[in-house]
Amino acid sequence: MSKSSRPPLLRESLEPWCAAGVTGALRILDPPGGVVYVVDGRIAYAETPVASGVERLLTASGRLPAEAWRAAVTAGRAQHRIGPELVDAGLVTQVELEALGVIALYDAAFFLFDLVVSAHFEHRARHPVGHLRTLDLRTVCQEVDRRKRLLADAWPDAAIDTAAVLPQRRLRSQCVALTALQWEVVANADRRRSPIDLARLLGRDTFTVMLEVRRMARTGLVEPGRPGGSAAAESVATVRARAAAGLTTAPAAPAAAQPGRHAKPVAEPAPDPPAEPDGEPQPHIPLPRRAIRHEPVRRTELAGTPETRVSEQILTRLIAGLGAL
Amino acid sequence: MFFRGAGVLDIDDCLHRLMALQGVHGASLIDFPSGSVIGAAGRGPGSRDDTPADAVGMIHATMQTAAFATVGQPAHVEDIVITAGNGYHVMRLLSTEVEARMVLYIWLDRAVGNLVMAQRQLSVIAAQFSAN
Repeated sequence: MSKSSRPPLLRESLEPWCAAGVTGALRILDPPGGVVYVVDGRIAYAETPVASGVERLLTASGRLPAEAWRAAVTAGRAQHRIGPELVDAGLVTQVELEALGVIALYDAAFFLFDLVVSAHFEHRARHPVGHLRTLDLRTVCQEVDRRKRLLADAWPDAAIDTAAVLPQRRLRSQCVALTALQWEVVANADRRRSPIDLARLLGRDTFTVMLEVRRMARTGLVEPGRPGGSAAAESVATVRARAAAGLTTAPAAPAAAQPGRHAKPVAEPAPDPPAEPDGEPQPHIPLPRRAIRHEPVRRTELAGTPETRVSEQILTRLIAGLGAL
Repeated sequence: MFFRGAGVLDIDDCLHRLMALQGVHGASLIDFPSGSVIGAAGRGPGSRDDTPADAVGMIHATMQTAAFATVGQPAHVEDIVITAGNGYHVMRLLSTEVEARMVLYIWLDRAVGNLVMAQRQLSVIAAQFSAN
């Protein structure tokens, strides 16, 4: 099937920039808007107004007073070191900040990665919070796909994410057990707020609140009410409606989608333009090649040359295939 | 060397310290309500040669049930150990405000690993997560 028949998803637009190992920001011009930051070809951060960023995770949750955050912004914004300012002041720990950075990144990626939007790449743009943990594009894509599956498994109808959360007034069972986050949701549901609004109010990541609400809906503890009237909920609903309308021909979860050969970054001073299999005719066995490409960057890998790793992968696939027979 | 206090630790440092313990196959930091792997080292969730869904699923299932099954004064579980044929699976709950939903997880060899040492080291690392 020809790739040019369909406009690229955001995750595909990111592929060439990551492959070229550049640093910069891909700014999304269409609604809902947002930015994906790339550092040396790895995803460093992503943000969009509909997801919870580091700031909201820290302040709206009550972890940090808003003044403390503002002080760090004034002190560190220009040098892109808001994060280090907070750590130096002893307000948060480095691990905490990194973890929140990853949670915020996944939250924004969940909303952004499968959109068809026009975007503009700014070379060398960095996020003012400063250096956080960076991730492979592939890891982020896998996580986005995993999250979509998780949501669909918990409750298939996406309309619940933007509808008011209505806790049942009475339960048929004798007692219930809630997780801490589920409790927060129920305690703050005023029968108007949607999961999206609750996430903003509580300073939690939007995905997890949506997931917990869907899980509670499944067990009959809450039910979806009227569509939420808040700007955030409406924004998510319209973006989703647009995506559904525009992508009717494409599969909903393009997990195996290959980057098209479109939009190569106009070779900036990229350290080493990936001169690897460029004239390759059928880019349809992406796993081994990508694994090799990312191998040197992975600090977490322990041992094993790329060759042994690839053959291991092929072996496990073979075994899985045989098992299926 | 494990109790060196000074210096700012990042997530990779924490995971590498856990990996430095004898008999640890893998260590990871997991946000359990979403099941997302925040960081991983060695084998186990988040790495390529294992099935992350299994380990995260196990952690999720454990947290759903064990957290409510405390005896006496409830509401505080420090860690959970699952003794399995392929080793000990230790989940250390982090108790700071924001990270109350995160878990440090290690997979420890039964023959070579020392469970008590691992639990102590997990506590030391967990302390890195809270600003005093």
